[in-house]
Amino acid sequence: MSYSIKVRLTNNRCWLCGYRKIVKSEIMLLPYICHWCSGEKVIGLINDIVIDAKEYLNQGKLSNCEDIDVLSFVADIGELGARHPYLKQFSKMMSIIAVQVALEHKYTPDRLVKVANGENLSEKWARVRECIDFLIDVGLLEVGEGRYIYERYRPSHLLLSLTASVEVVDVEKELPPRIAACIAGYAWLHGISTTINWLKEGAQGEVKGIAKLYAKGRDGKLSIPKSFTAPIMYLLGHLASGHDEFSEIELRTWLSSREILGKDADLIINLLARVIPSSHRLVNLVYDGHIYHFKFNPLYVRMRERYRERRREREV
Amino acid sequence: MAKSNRCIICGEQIGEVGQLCAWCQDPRVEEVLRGLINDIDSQLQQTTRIDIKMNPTFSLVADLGILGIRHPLLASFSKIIARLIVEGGKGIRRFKVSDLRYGQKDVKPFIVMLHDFGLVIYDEVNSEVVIPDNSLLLKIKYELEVEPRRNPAAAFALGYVTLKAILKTLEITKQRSVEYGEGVTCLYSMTKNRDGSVKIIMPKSFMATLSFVLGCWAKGITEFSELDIHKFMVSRGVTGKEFNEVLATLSCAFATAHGLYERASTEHLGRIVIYRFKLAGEYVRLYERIRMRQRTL
Repeated sequence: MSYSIKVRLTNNRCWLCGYRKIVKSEIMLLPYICHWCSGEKVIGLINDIVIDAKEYLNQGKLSNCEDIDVLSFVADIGELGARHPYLKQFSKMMSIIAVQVALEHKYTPDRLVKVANGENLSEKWARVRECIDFLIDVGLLEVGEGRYIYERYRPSHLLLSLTASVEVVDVEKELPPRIAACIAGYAWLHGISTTINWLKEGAQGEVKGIAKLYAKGRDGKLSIPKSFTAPIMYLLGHLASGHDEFSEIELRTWLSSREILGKDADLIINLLARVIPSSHRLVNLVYDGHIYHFKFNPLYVRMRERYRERRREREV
Repeated sequence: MAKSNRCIICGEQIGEVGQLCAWCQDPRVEEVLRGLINDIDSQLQQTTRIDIKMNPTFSLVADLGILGIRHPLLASFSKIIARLIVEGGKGIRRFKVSDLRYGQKDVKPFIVMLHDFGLVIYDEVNSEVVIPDNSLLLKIKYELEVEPRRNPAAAFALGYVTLKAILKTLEITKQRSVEYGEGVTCLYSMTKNRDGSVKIIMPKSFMATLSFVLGCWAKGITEFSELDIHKFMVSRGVTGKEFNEVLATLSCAFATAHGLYERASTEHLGRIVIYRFKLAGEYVRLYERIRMRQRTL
């Protein structure tokens, strides 16, 4: 994009989950990202999910996202993103782009401005540009030529093929929520994967991936949407480590070192426990009389095992 | 029994309402425990061997028994069981109760418990213990002769009587309050203070651990972390060194190795490192089998 983003990143923080490092050696060893988010297992799992989901989306199986475990997982991630007060505007934008591309094979940024947050039009435009830039990063838009924005940043082959499958669904103005969540979820995961690689390489140059969507202060300081990225990274990290269950206390302890406490932590736990109405199936709940225990959806545990098996075979 | 403000199974402070805490009172615990005991009893009748290594039901009971072997009070009871097994194997079937004290002032409640569960016959008049021909202890002895190498069959006896005692306690509490010498209280020691008041001491670090492990298993929780067990133990007064010992026992750091968990790994949760335990797959399957059987009944 023509505009440049001048941001300031401090190296004592993980710019994905928000973990603040105290020990100097920890900062020197791995600046900008924490051990949890930069682990080989979690990166491998995210990449596997993104590759697998992309393959299904290319095959036009978006309308069956409920029946395919990886697409269902991606949709669950997207649903959590749609709950975040800041990120939900981008979820809406993605949904609008998908609907318009499905119906007209192009998109008009005017419609995106209507759902963007901002005090004035220029701020709203900045959000739309961030979203378009992010979608280029995750491969849903690509750079082209022409007079109009939708020509310069035209829908990619992936977006066209996934919207082709959307056409079969009765779409008028809005996508069915699960399908919209699936598209957004794919973008979030791809964005997270891109950001991890960028942070691991030393956060050089322009911001990449999901970090492009972080709210920016006037001094260029980024605000991490922790209440979305932190639980997502916890779930992905925990699943990638081979665990099938976790408890409320563990999650709270993990979140507390990311400075997510009190009501914010309650909100995340209630969302995972579906106390706040939600249709995600990431985890099932067991109440032991004292605390909640969360069990990963067996479908997703099998999905993880499939990827692990595939990786083992590849290594052999 | 003297009024207590603690759960008589795990030791949680509950005030003076009832004798059991919410964790132990959970109907799932009783249901699954009854299923397990019925399974053990029917298998003991059908088979001549107590094959701990191959049979997951026996293995689970032995593993639960192992958790208590290091406890100072229960170590005495383990010694009693060990003596009965060894001497019984030699053909000696009659013992004086005074010879079975092993440092304890009063082992009568424990002997009575063994009598109730059919492991021995207690002759109160002569203060003697007799091992009957069909005793479980003799079966354990034969099993040790067949498979002497790394066989935790002796722990099976302690686990078996403890689980039966817990089940009995749960049954009694439904009808009335439990008195000292009934159910699981047979494993507790009673002392008299100078002022004449009675004090009952429970082996909390064993009973609370057992209650946690059993409760998690009965509630279908197959993974837990140090934080979960810490929260559970703190409310039962097991902290500091005592808690570290519990953690060491669960992670097989002591010489007494059990097979409850197939994975005891460490995990970095930001600034702290915790232990995570994952229940052995065979016990998860055993739980499912018992639940299935309970549902079909």
